[in-house]
Amino acid sequence: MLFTLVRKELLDQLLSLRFAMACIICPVVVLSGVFVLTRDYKEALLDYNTNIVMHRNALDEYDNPFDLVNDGIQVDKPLNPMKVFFRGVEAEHTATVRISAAAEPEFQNDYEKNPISLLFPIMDLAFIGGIIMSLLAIAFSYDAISGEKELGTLKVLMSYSVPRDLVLLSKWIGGYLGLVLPFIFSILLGLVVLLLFPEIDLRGENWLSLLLAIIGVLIYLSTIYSLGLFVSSCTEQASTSIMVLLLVWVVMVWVLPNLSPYLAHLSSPTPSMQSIEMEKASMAEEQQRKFQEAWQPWISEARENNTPFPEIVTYFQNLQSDMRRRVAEERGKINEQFRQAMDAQIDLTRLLTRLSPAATFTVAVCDLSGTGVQEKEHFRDLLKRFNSQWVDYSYSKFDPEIFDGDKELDLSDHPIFTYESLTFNDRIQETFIDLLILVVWNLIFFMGAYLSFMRYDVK
Amino acid sequence: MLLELIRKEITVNVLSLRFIVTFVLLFGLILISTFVLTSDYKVRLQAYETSRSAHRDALSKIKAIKDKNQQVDELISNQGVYADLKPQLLAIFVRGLEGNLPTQVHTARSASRKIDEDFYHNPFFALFSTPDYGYIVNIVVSLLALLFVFDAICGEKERGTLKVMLSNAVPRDLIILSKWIGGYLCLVVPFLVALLAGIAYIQLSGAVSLDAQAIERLIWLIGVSLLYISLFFTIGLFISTLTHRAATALIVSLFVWICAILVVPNLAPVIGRLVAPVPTLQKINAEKEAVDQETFLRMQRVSRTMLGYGKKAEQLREKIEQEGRDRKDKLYHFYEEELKTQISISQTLSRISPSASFRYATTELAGTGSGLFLHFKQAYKRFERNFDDYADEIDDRRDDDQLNDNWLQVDEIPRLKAYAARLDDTLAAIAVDLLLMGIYNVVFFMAAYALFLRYDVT
Repeated sequence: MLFTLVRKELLDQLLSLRFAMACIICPVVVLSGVFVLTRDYKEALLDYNTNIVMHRNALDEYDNPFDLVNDGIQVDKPLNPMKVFFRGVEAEHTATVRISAAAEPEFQNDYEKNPISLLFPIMDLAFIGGIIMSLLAIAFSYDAISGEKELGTLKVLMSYSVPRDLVLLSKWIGGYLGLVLPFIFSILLGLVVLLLFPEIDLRGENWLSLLLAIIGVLIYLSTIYSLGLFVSSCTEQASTSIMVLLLVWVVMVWVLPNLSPYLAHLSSPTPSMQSIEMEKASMAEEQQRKFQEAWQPWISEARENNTPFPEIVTYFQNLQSDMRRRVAEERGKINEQFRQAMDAQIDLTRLLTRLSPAATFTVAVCDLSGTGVQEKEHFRDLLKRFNSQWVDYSYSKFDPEIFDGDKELDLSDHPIFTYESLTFNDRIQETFIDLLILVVWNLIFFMGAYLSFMRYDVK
Repeated sequence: MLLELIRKEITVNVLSLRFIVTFVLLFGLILISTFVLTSDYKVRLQAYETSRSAHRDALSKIKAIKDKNQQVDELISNQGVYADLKPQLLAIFVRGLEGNLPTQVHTARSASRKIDEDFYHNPFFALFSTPDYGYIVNIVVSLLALLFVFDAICGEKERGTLKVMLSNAVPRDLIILSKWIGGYLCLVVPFLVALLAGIAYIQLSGAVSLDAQAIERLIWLIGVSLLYISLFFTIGLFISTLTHRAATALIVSLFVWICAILVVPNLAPVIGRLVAPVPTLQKINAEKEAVDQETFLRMQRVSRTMLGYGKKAEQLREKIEQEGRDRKDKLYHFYEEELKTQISISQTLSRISPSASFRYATTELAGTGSGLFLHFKQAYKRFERNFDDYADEIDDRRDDDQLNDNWLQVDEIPRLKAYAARLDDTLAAIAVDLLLMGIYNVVFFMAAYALFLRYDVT
């Protein structure tokens, strides 16, 4: 009997206008999003490869250790093929960062972008699943119970002594299948598009992340569908259920997720960028002043005493590298204090986003795909470590013979920035909770629908 | 009779669930949004004032240095000059592209510092949109407008009241007009009440002061919003006259909403990029580097062949340098022209959707649109160029020993020009968008009217 009921529900959905609508919208948005993000990836890969060569060649121009200190080296973040599906927290596929002993890591931003693309960002799977598909899920489920009651077919169905739990279950299964079939088909088409671009190299872990992320989308859609079923089984009229559902949808998909960072920012504020930068600047000034206080008298005396040049270089090297290390250390402490305040705000944001299935879903799929907050913080930690390596390396190259022109600056042993993204296990640890929360929401809504439907007046 | 019909529509709407939902949602959303974004603006404004003050102090410290040479080195090479960007007041209502720009920029002779502002931002802001007033109207109110009216005609047909009304010889044109007016009033009155409450909060909180120019722009912003809401209301009415079942009208309305709000505006830049691709800035920079290499080699050849001395060699070197600069400028202009073409195509295509027109109009009125973005780009370049010229001049004066003790005048230091578009210019820029929304309104209303005159009410 369940099979018959599911078949009836499925046929109802497949022959409906909403299914036709889903069959038009899903392929258009998924394919266009994947195609454009894939092309962007391809272009970004070309740029990344060009940058690697250019930045390596830039080191060849250096003939002086001060170039290492002041200009440093530019490093590039390798591309993440998963950004073809999930844009995440960073709009660009790659990033160029200048690492030098004289300053903190500097991200090279440019404002040469099409502002229209900033006003209307490309639709990725997080946007399509989180917003478009969730609205379709509402459209598929809002009149599952109340609509059938209005049509009069529900009481006819119940008059055949069909168990209510089977009716509800078949509505869930049939309707859900009708909703996800166009989406899954579009995803498969998207993967075919991906195969047209051999530059995109998805490894084993990436495929696993993608599969889990798609499962996350499906769990999220089932949550919204269950919500729709629940509201439908609480109301007598389809028009009432759609109003209530759209109100809930607006709050859950648009209001709560978008308000969460602001509410967290107000409740758990961090010091402003300006105050932190001022603190760092005055600290650096203080260290610079101490350096000058130690250096000026010494160099004056050294000149008077005709101190050999190598000794001057060595003294300068030690004094300045100590100063740079102290600056880096103090800066690190200031950054660490700020980071603690920011981490508290981020944790609060995460907590608030968990009130909304839509926000939980978005955060989970971005973290799973390595395009979320976790990965961004991991990249910064790696940069910080490389920065200290570079400081040590720069000052190790201070050689009097180079300053005299007797020796050339040899940079063949320079440290190379290697980027290892978070492992799959690291990513899953954080997102496991989010996926679990989605499953719990699912169960809550389905149980609510079940209890409601058991007492539903079908006449 | 029209008044009677309008009164009937208003009564029916006010007593419905959708009116309560609309009222509660709009009030809640607009007030929360205003509160949150006003607090955010206050914090940003304070940070801006503190930063400006600190940068002025830094210049005073340089001025206090006794040694002129050190003063010059500190100002031009070591410390350089900062410029702060003041937060736009109306960003409380429409944040637009303001978040994509830095809050301060730096320039110096040796190397400009780029502060990693991203480090100081909660990364979740990048995952979710700003829930500002523009966003609420664009997304929420447009959906509410469709929900208000999707069953205005077909719903009444299903209930059987439409044929009863028409059997009383009520002209069809009055019916459709009354449905439009009555329904629209029931939607915009809660909207305006909520908005006025939000504006009252801003004024009464005292932290933000709306000047005459801001109020003028705000009035235009409200006007554009009312036009946009009426457009979606008219579209909903049109859909209702197309269908005979409320369920069908609802699905079609949702489909139209998804396409107009989510799909078309986001697809347009995609198509723009496919139709008018622009080489990446990376490619342009790589070509510029190649030009620099070539210039360097040519200069070396001159030095070798002409022994590097004499006026002729100097002139030749200058000519080669100038050629190099011209070629690089040409490359950059080519890039800018291509980007402009792409932007123009993206904008034109996106205007198929009224949501895009609304976004353009409201962001320009709030001073946070593409006008701000493009102005910043140009102003930043000009700022860097002017500072380089200023640094060269000071250097030359130092070399010629022409710097007196009071050479450093803060007013003479190049500044970043603030964005201040005149309202006339803004209105001229958004005239197309306003016209499009007006035309859409008329077209859909005429279509609804024409369809209703032939509508089968039985």
